[in-house]
Amino acid sequence: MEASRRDFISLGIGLLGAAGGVAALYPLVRAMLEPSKIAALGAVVEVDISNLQPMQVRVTSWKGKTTFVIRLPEDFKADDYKLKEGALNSKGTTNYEILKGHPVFALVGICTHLGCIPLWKPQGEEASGGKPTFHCPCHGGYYTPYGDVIAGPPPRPLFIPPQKLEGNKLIIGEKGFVQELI
Amino acid sequence: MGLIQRIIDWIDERAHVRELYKSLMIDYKVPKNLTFPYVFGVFALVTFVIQIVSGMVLLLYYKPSIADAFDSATYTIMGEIPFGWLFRHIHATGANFFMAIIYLHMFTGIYYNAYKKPRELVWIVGWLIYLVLILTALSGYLLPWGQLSYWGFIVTTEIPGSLADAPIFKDFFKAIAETIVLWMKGGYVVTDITLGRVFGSHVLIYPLLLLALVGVHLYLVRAAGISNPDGIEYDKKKHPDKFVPFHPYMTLKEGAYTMWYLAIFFFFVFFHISHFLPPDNFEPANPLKTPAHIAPEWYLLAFYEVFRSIPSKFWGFVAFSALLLFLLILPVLDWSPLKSARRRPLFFVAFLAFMYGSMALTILGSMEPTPLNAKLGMIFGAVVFGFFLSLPIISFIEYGWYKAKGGKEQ
Repeated sequence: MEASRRDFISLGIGLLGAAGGVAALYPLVRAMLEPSKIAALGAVVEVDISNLQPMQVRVTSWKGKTTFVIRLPEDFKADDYKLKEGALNSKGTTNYEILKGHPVFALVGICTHLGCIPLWKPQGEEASGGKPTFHCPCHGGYYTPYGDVIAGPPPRPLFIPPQKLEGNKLIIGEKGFVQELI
Repeated sequence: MGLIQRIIDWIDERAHVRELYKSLMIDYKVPKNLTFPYVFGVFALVTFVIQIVSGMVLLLYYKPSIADAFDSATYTIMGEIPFGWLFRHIHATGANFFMAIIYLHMFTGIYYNAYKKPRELVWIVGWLIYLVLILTALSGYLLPWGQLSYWGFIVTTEIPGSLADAPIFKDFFKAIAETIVLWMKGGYVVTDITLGRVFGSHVLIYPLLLLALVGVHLYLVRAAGISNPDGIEYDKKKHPDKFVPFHPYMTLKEGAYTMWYLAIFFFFVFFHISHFLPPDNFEPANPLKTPAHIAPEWYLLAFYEVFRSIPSKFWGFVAFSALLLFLLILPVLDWSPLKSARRRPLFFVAFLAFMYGSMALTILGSMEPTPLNAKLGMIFGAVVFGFFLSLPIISFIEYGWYKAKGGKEQ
């Protein structure tokens, strides 16, 4: 009888001690391994678009990634771009289908081929049929202003970050007309 | 169970851990009549571990430069790092608790005369630990780079400068004083280099010294055996009934007390942190403006009061250095063959005077320096000095009693 009571106490103390140890370890591990609140600081970016002119691109940083904020003319037509076949975003569509009707939107400005930053060519290039394009200088990728691939090696369109329009502010990183990173 | 057993067997065959465990925990016997104050040593050890662990987290994010120090402590650690605030709270609370526990530990050692043969080395190494601990506390105090940090450091480094007020050999003492102040500050002004030096001492040099000294201290305690509250040295072989195995008797008792200690500790961490992280220190250091009320941390107030209540800065400095020195040579001052205040009525009275005297000095040190307080400071300073100076006399009287009883302890 005595022995079993002692076993019970030992087990109880052991379990309590282990629970206490884990509880103490939790803040320690988080403080040491995950100073990520700093990273979270860049997770929501507000861009004032009141001075953004049509066909103008403003470059900002969202989660440390180069991000383009672009305003297109209200009557901009993107139907006559010749797109590269099979280069679709994670929804299985073109970016144009998601973003049409939105004259102001943000795109992650990182070429989906090997991570270079595409250049904005509003006057157009030969490969884009003389229409405005994002041109990646590294390996010759061409994108429409919506980020869809026209030509070159990129396997998929530019990423679209979650974003919301509030008056004159485009809030990148909050759910709005784009709900998630596409 | 089988697998764990086999792993332990495997290790045991190579490292003889069972033997080690048995000799350190079971065969190591401690007096069975140890009283509550004997747990302060364990509390100190627990606090030391807490300080090292919480310090490691702070070290990851603190930046030791004048431009960054305040922001890294106040914004990065307190606001941006997950649980950074918790570890700063723990570290600040731990520093104060560490000093408090060490004082209680020292009072216990003095009360039970744990500095006497064969434990003189335990006491001397303990004194060294106390000294390094004060240096660690002072250096850590500068790091957050708040107003109190900065001015506390300035005032502390100016204290050895009091030597310049010597009544004789003025030039000699002045040179020494200036050299010490320069060494402590690393220059005439507090610069990035000073801060870096203080930082390096606080996070590496002093902790390494402490680790080594604490290791030696613990070894010496075990080598000499824990003192007995009765003040009688029993032979472990002749009186096995007076001893109990360290485990489980001491470990359980100390473990239970440690839980209470941690409960109180974390009560302060979570609910009363302003005692240890005062609001005044959340203002960045300004070398051109001294804060309205500046006093050392509470654990130095007794020394500070002795220092400031003596009109001459030089003699004030000598007096508080003498206090530190008296603590070191306690085994020599108190040479009586009798041990433990329980069996020494004269010593008991002297001890009470010493304890209340140093408490009174601490309280006075926190008050405004009025002429009355200075007079009281002199009186209680004399009481504390009286304790140390009365010890040889008490020892002489007790030696007479001891001889009259035929030179026996009992």
